[in-house]
Amino acid sequence: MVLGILFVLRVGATFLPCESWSPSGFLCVAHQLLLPRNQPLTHIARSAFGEAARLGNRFDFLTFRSEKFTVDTHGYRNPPFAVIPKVILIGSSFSLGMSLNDEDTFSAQLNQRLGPVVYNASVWIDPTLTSSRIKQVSAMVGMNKGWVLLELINRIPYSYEPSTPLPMPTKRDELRGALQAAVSSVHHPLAVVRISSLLNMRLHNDVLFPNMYKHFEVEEQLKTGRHVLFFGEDEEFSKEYRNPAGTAAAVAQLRDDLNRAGLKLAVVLVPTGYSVYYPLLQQTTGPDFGKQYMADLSSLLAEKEVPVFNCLPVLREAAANQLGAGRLVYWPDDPHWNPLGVATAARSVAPWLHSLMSP
Amino acid sequence: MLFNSEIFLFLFLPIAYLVFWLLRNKRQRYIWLTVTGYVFYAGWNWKFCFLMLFSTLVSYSAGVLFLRPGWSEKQRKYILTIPVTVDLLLLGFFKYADFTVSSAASVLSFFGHPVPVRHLNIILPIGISFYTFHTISYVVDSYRRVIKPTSDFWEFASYVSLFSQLVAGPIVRFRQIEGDLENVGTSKRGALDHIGWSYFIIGMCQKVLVADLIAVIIDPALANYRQLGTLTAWACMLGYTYQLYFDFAGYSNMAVGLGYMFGIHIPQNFNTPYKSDGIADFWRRWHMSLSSCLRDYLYIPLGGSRGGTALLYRNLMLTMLIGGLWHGASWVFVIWGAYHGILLCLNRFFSEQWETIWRPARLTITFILVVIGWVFFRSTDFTMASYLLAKMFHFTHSVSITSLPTLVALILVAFAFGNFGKNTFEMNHNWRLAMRCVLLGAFVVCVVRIVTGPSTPFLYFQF
Repeated sequence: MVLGILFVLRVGATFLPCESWSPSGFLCVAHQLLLPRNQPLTHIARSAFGEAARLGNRFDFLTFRSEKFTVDTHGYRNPPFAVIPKVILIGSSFSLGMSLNDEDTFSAQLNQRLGPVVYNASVWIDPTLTSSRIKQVSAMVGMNKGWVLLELINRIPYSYEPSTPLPMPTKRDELRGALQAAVSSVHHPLAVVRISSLLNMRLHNDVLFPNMYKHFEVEEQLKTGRHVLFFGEDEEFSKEYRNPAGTAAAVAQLRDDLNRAGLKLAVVLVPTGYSVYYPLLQQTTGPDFGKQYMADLSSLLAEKEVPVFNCLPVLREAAANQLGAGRLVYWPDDPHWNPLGVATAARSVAPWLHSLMSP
Repeated sequence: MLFNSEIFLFLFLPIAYLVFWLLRNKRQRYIWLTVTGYVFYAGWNWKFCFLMLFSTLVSYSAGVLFLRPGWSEKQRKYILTIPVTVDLLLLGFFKYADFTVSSAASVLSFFGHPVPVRHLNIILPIGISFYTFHTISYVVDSYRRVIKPTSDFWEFASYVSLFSQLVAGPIVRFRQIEGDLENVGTSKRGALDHIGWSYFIIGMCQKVLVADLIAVIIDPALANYRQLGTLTAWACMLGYTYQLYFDFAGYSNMAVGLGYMFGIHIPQNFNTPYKSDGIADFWRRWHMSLSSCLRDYLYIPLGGSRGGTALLYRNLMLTMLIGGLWHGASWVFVIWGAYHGILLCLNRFFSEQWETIWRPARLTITFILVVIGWVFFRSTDFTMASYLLAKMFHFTHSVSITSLPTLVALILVAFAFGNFGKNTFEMNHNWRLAMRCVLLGAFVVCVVRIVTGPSTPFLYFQF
């Protein structure tokens, strides 16, 4: 009888006015993936889709793609690695590679151009810069000297906390994570959970019930008439000027700390999709604060003798060039860059990084 | 831990139930009930278990002292006063300290003596209003010789921490379940399970399929209350009227059902209050366990109706003002209490004339008056309350709110059940097979909704 009811609910759900949802590949397994483990683990989500469309319940924007997500034994996103890395990439979900296949991530694209020298140690956005985790990672992968490539998102103000150890899991966290993983490995395959997820998402379609996460996304129209989704926070960031001095000072402190450990720091500034497409929007709200922030942060870091690469100009140029052909450099349903955007950035960053690494 | 959570339904409850019935004697079952109560409470914040334990120990000690013969009346009063004062101080500190400080600062500021206020930001221990009522009623009833206090610590501890009624009532008095607790060692498993499940599932449906669904529509709308017009303001307040009722009545029914599963009869807390034909009638039907406690431990000790008309009105007002403040440390709750106090006084004053009015009209007027009262109860401050009332009574157009047709449909369903349906205590829970299947189906639907749906605590948890 229970199975019968579940069947009726499952069939009933398909008639609700909403596109068929499937759980985002990365998000639903994130807590299982980012844990140290004995063997590398690959997770494949065959019909992953964008976070902005998911939160906004914008099924009209969904772009389905396959996501292959490989995690090494340390819990970081790297396919099996053969050589000792010369660069550790630290950063946000952009360099972690959300919404991307393994071979399309920023580190993979750099490795394609530089040889397998970049180790991806990116996690979720953490606005706290500290050297403790980086030192831990460098010891873990056996990189005594070399470069740390720090990817910074323009929207986030970063701070430096020398004494705060970072999101490196404690034994207790690991135990909790393992427990969660065990529970969810039982939980996720259950029919009742899948039907529940489907039904609840379909119910909250802004027709039958309000979508509680709607404010996370904003829809904008590009000059070509095409509509894309951005994160509301990205748009908010661009509405007023923010002083990057705090972030620059935090980066300089991090650089000094790493130098003492024999590591060198370089920074790559990555813009949000909203900042990239700002000049291409049909309606803009005022001065280009996103661009100004990144330019000012670049100057401040250069003044402090921190090597920095600002990805905004190359991404804006690529965005403008590709738009005529109907291609985008960021996903239309997600705040992150797509394979074309990553490749564009990597093409410019790789020679710059190579020159830094050259003796 | 919520009754409508997976961890409660599929882990806590089965373990609590199976172990309870595996245990053979009364003492073991008292201990187990106490342990489960504390584990249930620790699911919110384990540190506050010590607060509950302290309150339990103080009141238990008072009970043990009452058992000893030879105390003079004066000494008995001391034994009464100390634990009640301790409980009230705890409640006052955790619930009202910040409120008192900010209110005093506002008064001083009003009279031209502004003082800087540093809020203590005290965490309100969940359910403290309920379990302090349990302990106070126990001590007062022991003093009045209404009950014979227990000398068994575990019996008393299991009464205070009984998880089914720990954090949001009903406010069960010791005398109401004393017999069941005494017989807990001899009660038989399964004898009342079907009744328990029936109450539990009906309560769960009230919570998950009515209250929570209404909440997901009206909460965002009320968060932007300035954009509401007359019709949408009424729709939201009618929605809230039913959300509150089905939420709390749902919780109470689940508590009653859980009680049955463990052989304990928890008393009725709601008697279809929206069928009331007067405000006095409403308070006999709404949150009955609180109303009766306020009557027995506040209104009657104040003198009740014994001291003449003026004193009667004073006692009614005081009882309702304190009752309002019990719900939350905010002046809007005091105003809500005062509003109902005034309505009760008017009800009393015009009782003869009121009875002559056509009953459907009395029902409608009472219902509308209650809905207006809920405006204060739902509002976060006076600005919101006055804004909502202005919108409700001065016609203004507005843009529609998201999912308004669904809200209207839910209100109609709630109206049918809440204003015309039977309440769970009027039902015969020995269902036939077909109805059992319906209940099972409803349970599955609720589970499907809660597994990945938004987590929604019960509204009365905040009190």
